[in-house]
Amino acid sequence: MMTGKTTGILVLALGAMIPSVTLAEQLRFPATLNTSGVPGVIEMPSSASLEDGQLSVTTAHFGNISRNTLTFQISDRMSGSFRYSATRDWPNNGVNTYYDRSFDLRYRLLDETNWRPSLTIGLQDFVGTGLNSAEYLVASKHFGDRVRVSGGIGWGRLGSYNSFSNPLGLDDRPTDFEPTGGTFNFDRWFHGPAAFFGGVEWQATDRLRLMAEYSSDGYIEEVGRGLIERKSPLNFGASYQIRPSIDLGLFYLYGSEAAVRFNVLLNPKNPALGSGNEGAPLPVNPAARAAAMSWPAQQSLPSEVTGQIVEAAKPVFEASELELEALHIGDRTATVRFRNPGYMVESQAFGRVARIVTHLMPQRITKFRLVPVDQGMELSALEINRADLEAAEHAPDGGESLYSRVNFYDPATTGLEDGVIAEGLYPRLNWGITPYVNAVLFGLENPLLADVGLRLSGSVDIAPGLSVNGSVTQLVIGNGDDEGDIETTSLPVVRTDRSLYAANNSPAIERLTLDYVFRPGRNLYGRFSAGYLESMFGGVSTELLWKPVGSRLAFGAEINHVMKRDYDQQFGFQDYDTTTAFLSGYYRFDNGYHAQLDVGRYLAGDIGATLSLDREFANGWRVGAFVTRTDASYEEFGDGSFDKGIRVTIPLGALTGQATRDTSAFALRPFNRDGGARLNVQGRLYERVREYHNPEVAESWGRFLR
Amino acid sequence: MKKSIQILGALVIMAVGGCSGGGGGSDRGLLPAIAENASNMFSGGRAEKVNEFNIEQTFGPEQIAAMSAPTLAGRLLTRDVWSGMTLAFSARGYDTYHTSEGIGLSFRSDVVVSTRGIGGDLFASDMSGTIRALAAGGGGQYQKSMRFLTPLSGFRDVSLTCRMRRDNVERFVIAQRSFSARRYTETCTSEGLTVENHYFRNDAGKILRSRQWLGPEGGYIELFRLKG
Repeated sequence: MMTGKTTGILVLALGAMIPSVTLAEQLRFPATLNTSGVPGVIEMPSSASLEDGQLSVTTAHFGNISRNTLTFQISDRMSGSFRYSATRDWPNNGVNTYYDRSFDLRYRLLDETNWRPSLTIGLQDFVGTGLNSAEYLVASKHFGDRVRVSGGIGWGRLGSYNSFSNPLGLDDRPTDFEPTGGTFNFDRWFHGPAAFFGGVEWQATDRLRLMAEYSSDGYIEEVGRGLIERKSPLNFGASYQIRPSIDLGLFYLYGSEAAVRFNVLLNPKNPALGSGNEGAPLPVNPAARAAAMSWPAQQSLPSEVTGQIVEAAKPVFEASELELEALHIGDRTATVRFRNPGYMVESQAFGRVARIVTHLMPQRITKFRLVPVDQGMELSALEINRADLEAAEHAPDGGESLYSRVNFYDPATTGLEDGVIAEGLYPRLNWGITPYVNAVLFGLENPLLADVGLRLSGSVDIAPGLSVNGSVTQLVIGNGDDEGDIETTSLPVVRTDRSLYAANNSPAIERLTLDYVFRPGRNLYGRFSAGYLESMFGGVSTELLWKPVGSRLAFGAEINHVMKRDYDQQFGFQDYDTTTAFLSGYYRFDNGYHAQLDVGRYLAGDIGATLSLDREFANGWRVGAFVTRTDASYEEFGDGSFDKGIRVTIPLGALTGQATRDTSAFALRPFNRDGGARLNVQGRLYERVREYHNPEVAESWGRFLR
Repeated sequence: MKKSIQILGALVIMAVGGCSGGGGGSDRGLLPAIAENASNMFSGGRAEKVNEFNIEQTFGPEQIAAMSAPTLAGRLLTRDVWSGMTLAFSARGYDTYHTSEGIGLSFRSDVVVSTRGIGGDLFASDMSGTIRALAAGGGGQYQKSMRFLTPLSGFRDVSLTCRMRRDNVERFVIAQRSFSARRYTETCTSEGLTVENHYFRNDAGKILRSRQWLGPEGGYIELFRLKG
């Protein structure tokens, strides 16, 4: 269960959703990233912030120390960082390099004004072994357009040189490292001696920035081990902007060490290809023009004729990266069921379908009902008047006001006519061969474990809602089985033996399931899956989701009974079976923040909850974090104490500018253990459904006429 | 009955061709030729710089005569790339031209009102002031608005204050044919922004050549009327 302290952190994280009243653009020049990958001078932090939503990747090297940091500006005021550092010639875990993973959190308390500096509070390595833990308050002030001065007070690592007694009276700070790590180090925060630090940045030219600072990091452990010489507290350096998103820094540290820092910035809000350059849509065909298309006079068409229209329209849909599932032509309304394999932003898919239908329907059809379907399951319905669409196509407002005139609802209980289903959809075999990479990053003994191979995936759509899905992989090359000894605890082994699965060199059945999705009622969605659900477990899985079309709130229930699969990933099972079950709540906040709470029983039999918080961008980018606490003790969990991590989803269309729903997603966990482990069943309902609901559709309505 | 449906299908497919393959009524002689000479690449991720294409010389009257639909040649100045575009659709006073890569430009009275597929597209606009000023042969101050789609599906609006100046008649060559038309210069300002568009309008009121600003990302496009 979550402790009060954990809840406090999460409340703090939720506080990031409160929009700032002051624009980040107030800053005179962008933040420099220091050797720890957070806004700073050289080694010390500053109070500057990255742009809202910005992601940065920083790598810095000096002496025996390397730091690699991913920082995300969660909101205008709050940022979070994940860091993987390596200190060579420091034996640990049987290797000669100390690998450490840590998280930082920063919050800008005050904005800069004409007379006042900005002020930021920061926690460095606040959940980990404590090797690099530090806390600080730092202020920054611009002088003119080219000079920024920062100064602050630090504790922990940042209070380890020329320190003085704690001004807060919190003198006792544990100095030992946490044996398992991964817990919040509340007893260290702002405890122990403190020290001042400071620095100045000078924007010498448009691209060159010069910096000098006074460091309060004593590098006590590193100096004691002879890993670094610290002759001076002064650091000097220069930072050069190679491109607007790429920066290189060269520094001279502590009177003895040369350092290099390289960082790349990207902002999901400002992708290189802007709003995308996928092809132009079909123009809207005016109803008056459709009158000249020799339509038969009768109001209701025989299904045979509708079928011919469906077949004629199929290539039109395909050319628009869409797929026509079924069509019904009524007296005044045409109902179109469609699949969207092409568009990451669902509003754009709705808009493209509407445009196509203007070319298909006679003048008497005055209303279009557009129904997106996923494996035959209706997700929502959008009704639009033909005349409104025509009026909006070239309207100066870009169709923005059109949204107020559409009807958006759940079609489950409205008795939609079935219409004519396009030929060749049921049954249909889909298959493909693609390369795959399974990687485990930032291990304690190995920074990168990765397997590369080929994946043959296929599906058979048997009937609307019913399908068989599977994939087979063949490892080509990799070191996924080099994880070393499996550290077990009293928990059942459900994930820590993944290297034994990775050692399989034969073709592996990654997944093979019979899946059925259905609509049990209004606002309800159902799924049933049976078979080899994922690479390590097989069994049955069923799920029920409640999600009204216009609701920000959704609830789900899931129950699975699974058995552990054999390591060869063929058809056999091991002697471990379990039942896992979860109740889930989902809420979509304003400004793209999304929260999910899952409460239930995990694969190892531990009971607890997972809280996930994501920042989602309308173009498909997602950056988030998750934390799981269960009744498994820290000792039972092992290294890391409990499951947590960050995750990033990148829409490939944002990189190529083309219409595609393909994404690349990765999660970074300090430790992947048996506690808090969930089943990786494919096709969970919430993500399939909510993208065709509000607020997602309303928030992206700008792309309806794109 | 079946025949009518086949006609419908043909219409639909023709329209699709306009979207992805060069446009209804596109000329198979012209577009491949432009493709060879100018690489046909407008869009940012696929842009190729082309130096060889020459709007005065690369095409001649025979090729123009072989075209079966109104056709424009366009040069995106910020990327120094050319593309040909044919009329794909015309309705309610708007003409939509498509390039063979599926990029679309919509015009009202030969003034660009929207683009699709360039990146940083001009999503919508109110160009009625420009159209009235051209029809009146120049004139006083007027407003126009341009709306751009942001990467997060929002809009960014630019409101411009403009004046249209009537300049001299000029002679120029397009596809080995000589034309004369009066130049109109439109100067528009907004906060921190000044743009200057040129329109070459003949006695019949048709714009034969122009340079129009598409937005902060699209920059200027030069357009030359090859046919229509």
